[in-house]
Amino acid sequence: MSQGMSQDGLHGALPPAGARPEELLAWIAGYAAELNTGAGPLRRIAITSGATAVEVEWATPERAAPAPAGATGDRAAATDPQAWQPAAPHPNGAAPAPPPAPPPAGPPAARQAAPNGDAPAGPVPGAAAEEAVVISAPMVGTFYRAPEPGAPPYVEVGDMVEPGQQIGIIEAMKLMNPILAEQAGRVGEILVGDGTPVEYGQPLIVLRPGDTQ
Amino acid sequence: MFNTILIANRGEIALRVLRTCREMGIRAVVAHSTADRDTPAVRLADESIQIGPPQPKRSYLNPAAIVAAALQTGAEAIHPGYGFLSENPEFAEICQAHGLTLIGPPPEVIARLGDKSSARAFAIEARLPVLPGSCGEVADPGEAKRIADEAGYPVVIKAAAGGGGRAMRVVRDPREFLPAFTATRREAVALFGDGRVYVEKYLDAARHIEVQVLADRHGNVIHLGARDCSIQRRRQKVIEETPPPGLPDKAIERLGELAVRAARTAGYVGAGTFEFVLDEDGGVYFIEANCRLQVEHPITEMVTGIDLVREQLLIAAGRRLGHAQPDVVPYGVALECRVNAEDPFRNFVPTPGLVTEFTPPGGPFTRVDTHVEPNLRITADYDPLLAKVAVWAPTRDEVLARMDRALGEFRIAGPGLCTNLPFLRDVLAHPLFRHAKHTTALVDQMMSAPLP
Repeated sequence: MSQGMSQDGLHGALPPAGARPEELLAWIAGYAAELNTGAGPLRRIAITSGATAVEVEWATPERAAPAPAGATGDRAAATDPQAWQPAAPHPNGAAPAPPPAPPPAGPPAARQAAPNGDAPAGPVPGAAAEEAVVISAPMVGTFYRAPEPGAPPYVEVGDMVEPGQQIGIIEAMKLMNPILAEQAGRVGEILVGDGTPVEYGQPLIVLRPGDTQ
Repeated sequence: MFNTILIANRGEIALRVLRTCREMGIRAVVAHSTADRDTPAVRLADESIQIGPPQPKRSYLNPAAIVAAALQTGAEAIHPGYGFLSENPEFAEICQAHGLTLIGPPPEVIARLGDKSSARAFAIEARLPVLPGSCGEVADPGEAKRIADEAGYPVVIKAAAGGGGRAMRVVRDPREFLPAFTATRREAVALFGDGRVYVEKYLDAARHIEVQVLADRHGNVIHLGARDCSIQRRRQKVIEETPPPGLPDKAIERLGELAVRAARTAGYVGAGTFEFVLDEDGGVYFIEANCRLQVEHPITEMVTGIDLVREQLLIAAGRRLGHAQPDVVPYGVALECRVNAEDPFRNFVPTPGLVTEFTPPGGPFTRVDTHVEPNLRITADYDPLLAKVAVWAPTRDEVLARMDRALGEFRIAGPGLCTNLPFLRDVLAHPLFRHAKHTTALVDQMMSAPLP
């Protein structure tokens, strides 16, 4: 679910005239949060102040209903001012509780946050093909393995991950996008170092779904 | 001058822009979708970056992906080519906000000229001749009807946000106006999410002439002559020629002056095109402006000797125009044919498929702009342009013979693939075209009454 607005769409309540960029951003984010009329937890807010474009994404209701607080996909809670600030991703992301439902498939907005559907995720070509799944970058950006500099990485080689568990972040245009595992498995290989620029579809992590012992 | 430029486009135009970058010693980064990973522009690029899946909305039409790619690869400027985001004012603003130079006019100029109804309002304000009709958009059906009655039928109702011949209706009978008005607005909402429409007189048979301009940031504006783009199918150009045949030099000069005045009034910067229609009585009317490099720019390059992409880059870097109007002396005649993967006998529907054989023509004064090579798959995700063949000669007779020779050499084959090559040669041989008496109606005339 996503909704875009142009400046014209923000009829009525306008920000204070002559507002500084950060005030304007805070106002837009607050306004966007008010739009969350029970459709489900906010998943993502994208703001471009140059063109005053706002994009808001909610989790799909099916997923949202049973999801416990702190589920990684819903990290960008509207009330958390840090959620849309680049340098300080929420520490909750480091120790996520696995959501009971599998991540939503299909809606284009959701694909931005989780590599599913086409190219990004798939079996590894070549060695151990039937046992490995690659988590690939769903967008261009900078890959981070940890929630903040100096913090322990989300995952290490040998860790078990659950479906929906966060395995890293891709920062694109000052937006922190959580990268989630689609299925359970053991982290076999980490292909990209912390702070590395990645392109769309670039393999990030090799997961071995069969290796659950 | 820029050190690095990101090319945010694909196909032949990505390659075209890359070549000039290389000649100017500028590092070129090519942004591409997964579908275009193995194409010549990506292979020739100094660096390439994959920005998304094949669907344009998630790659070439995705401002966030393109801006992130530019910042990540250290590009200072973005060349948008044509189509995709090249005339999107929001994208231009986003680039500006991120300190990136978008190679093209400023966002506010794109916003004003890119929208068809505001371009019309601009032209009226700038005292350019326009077809009788509404001043900008018209919302009230009764008022629209009055405007139509005054302009005289046939009239055309067009979506302000429209393009490519969609959401527009020609009305010949006053009694059909109101239902057509409602239907066009509905269609405009459905297609573009924008119900604004405008009304203007419709010319059944017109010449479509456009003027190439160059404008720098210091107020200097020149034109590089005119192109005849009257040969269109589905309201899209297939053959372009410069200078426009059968048009007196004086008329071309007048169009050039109008375009320069319009560019100056609009505060235009960069390479741009002002389009006009000419009716059978020699009346000239402004229709729209294109805030980007045109597909058919090579023919202007051939007669003027000016590399338009080079000029775009110099202007974007803040340089003054290197040419004054008297320095621009077009010589000879140039013609371009767009070779498409499409079926002329099924209303020119695209015919995607695998290209197995591809041997473009060569020879004197023959330029082929293409990204195609054997084993390339033409997909339905993008437009079906396979190649642009442009030829030059001192006279029109020689240029027609040269183009026919070049198209005759072209070998393109593949399972399911169909091209418009035979159709293009039919147009070149058509008496109306040979005698330069053709109008925008020629293709329809040919398809409804083929020559024996």
